[in-house]
Amino acid sequence: MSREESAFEIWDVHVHLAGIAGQTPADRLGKLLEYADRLGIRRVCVFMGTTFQYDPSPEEMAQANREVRQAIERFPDRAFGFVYLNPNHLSASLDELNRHVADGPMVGVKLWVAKRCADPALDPLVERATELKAVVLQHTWLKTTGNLPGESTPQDLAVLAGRHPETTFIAAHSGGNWEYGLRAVRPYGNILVDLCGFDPTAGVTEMAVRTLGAERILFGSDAPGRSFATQLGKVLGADISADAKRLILGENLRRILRPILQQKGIRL
Amino acid sequence: MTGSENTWTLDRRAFLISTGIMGLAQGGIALANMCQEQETCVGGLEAGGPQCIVDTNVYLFRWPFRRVSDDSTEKLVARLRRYGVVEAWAASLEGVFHADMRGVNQRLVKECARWSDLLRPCGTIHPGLPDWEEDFRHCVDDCGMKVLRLFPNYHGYPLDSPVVEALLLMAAKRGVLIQIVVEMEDSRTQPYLFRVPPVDLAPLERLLKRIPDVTIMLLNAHRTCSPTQLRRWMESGRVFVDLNMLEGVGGIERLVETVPVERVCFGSFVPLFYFAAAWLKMRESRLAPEVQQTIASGNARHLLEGLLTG
Repeated sequence: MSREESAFEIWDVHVHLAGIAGQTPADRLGKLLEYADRLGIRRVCVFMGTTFQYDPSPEEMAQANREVRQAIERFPDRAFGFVYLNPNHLSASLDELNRHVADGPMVGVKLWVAKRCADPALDPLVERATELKAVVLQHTWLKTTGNLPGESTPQDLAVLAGRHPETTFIAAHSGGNWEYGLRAVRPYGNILVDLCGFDPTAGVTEMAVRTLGAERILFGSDAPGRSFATQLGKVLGADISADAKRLILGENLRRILRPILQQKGIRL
Repeated sequence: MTGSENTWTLDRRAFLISTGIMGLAQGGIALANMCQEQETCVGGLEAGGPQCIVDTNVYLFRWPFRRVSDDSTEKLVARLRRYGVVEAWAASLEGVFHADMRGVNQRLVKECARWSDLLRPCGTIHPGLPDWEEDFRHCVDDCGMKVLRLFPNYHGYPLDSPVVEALLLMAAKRGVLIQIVVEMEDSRTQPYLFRVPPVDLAPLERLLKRIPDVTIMLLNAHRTCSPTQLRRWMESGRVFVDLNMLEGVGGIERLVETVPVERVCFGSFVPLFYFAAAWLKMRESRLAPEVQQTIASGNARHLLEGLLTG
């Protein structure tokens, strides 16, 4: 790969296995990568299993992580895995974190809607993730229609990030209602945002760059529920500089994953 | 396939379009096509992208809740041309909120006339307003419009209202396409004090049976309507749908597995959505070039030609 080509390599921080057909998790990921290829997306971060569980039991959590592991091990040069944890099952979550990140190939943590993330119950998970140099991706939404009981707002993540300044967090979906979410996380330099999982509303990427700086923004798709294309359009269609687009499309994700990848001996 | 040359070419092309430096790259990757309309189609066939697009879902002017890059017509027109749009069916965002619909539609016509080779004005009709029939007459007779747009949820009337039937009868009689905007924004991200639910389309089937000659296009329908529902309406009458708010990987190829491809038209919803999102969606789905082109422009052209020739 030439140097110029490498500069355009697109990495997607937010991909799932649920919502696309396939005999096995690896088959599902293979199909997703065929679509990713059509848009020049080179690497994807995958988390959660072939079914979504709001508040998974330890067994369901383990199953989801086994499925992701099976999928990413089929495509080691195309996919990274984030381990799915449930703060309502702390001991089991720590076991999963050790199994798949400390002793396995995964490089990040995914937290969804089981418990609002400002809760101190998350602290042991975040502390262990930080020891392992894993990034922590937390679903955040601030829905006009009302959140789920355990669904974190971007304000919740700001509280958590304030307690853990050494941890690298990703506010998934930029808080959904991004005009609020971007403001909520702005003071916390250890929070980046991903741009996925809501409509390709014009202005989001421009405001994100204005508010946070391009260094704190990540491209993500939320595929297969969302289209790779519509979410990529948020970056490619934005009135921001070419340098900012390069950062958002891949360079930022490579930067925040570099410590754990180096620790695992993974060369890019 | 893993990172093939084709993939890279598109990636780089899309990047160059989006950064506005396509002109600099043309010598290197030989991409500009010229189509019959003498417009430069940057999304050429060699990239597998649509060309000579007819965009059926465009707006002019400002959305009251945020400013966006292309809410000046000059910028919007430049972007549409850059992506190879040769005709844009444009309505006024003022029409969503204003009550002086005559003024709204007159300003729209005047603005579209500045780029008459590209912008086709689509007047707004609010059949809940007194004397809406005069707005219809003005749009069709005075302005020669063949496409009109309705916002039932923002204007506060259900589709089973008698005025809707009256309006559709007039449209069928005059050979005018009625675009029904199902929603403008995800209910989860609407302003807290301005929450507007999607249009309830349940009465549509009965209307289609009562007025078989009416032609309807549903805009922004895919979050609300499944492909199976859409197919049912398409089987009941002359119903078309645009692509906006169609989500999921390979969305278009999955849609046309269920609905007739000749009823699907390109729509971007600019300037409220990024144009690139719609353009890339055409590339994401595995579509034969002729199918892609049918959706990008052919269906809209045939639809309009049918209306013009009666």
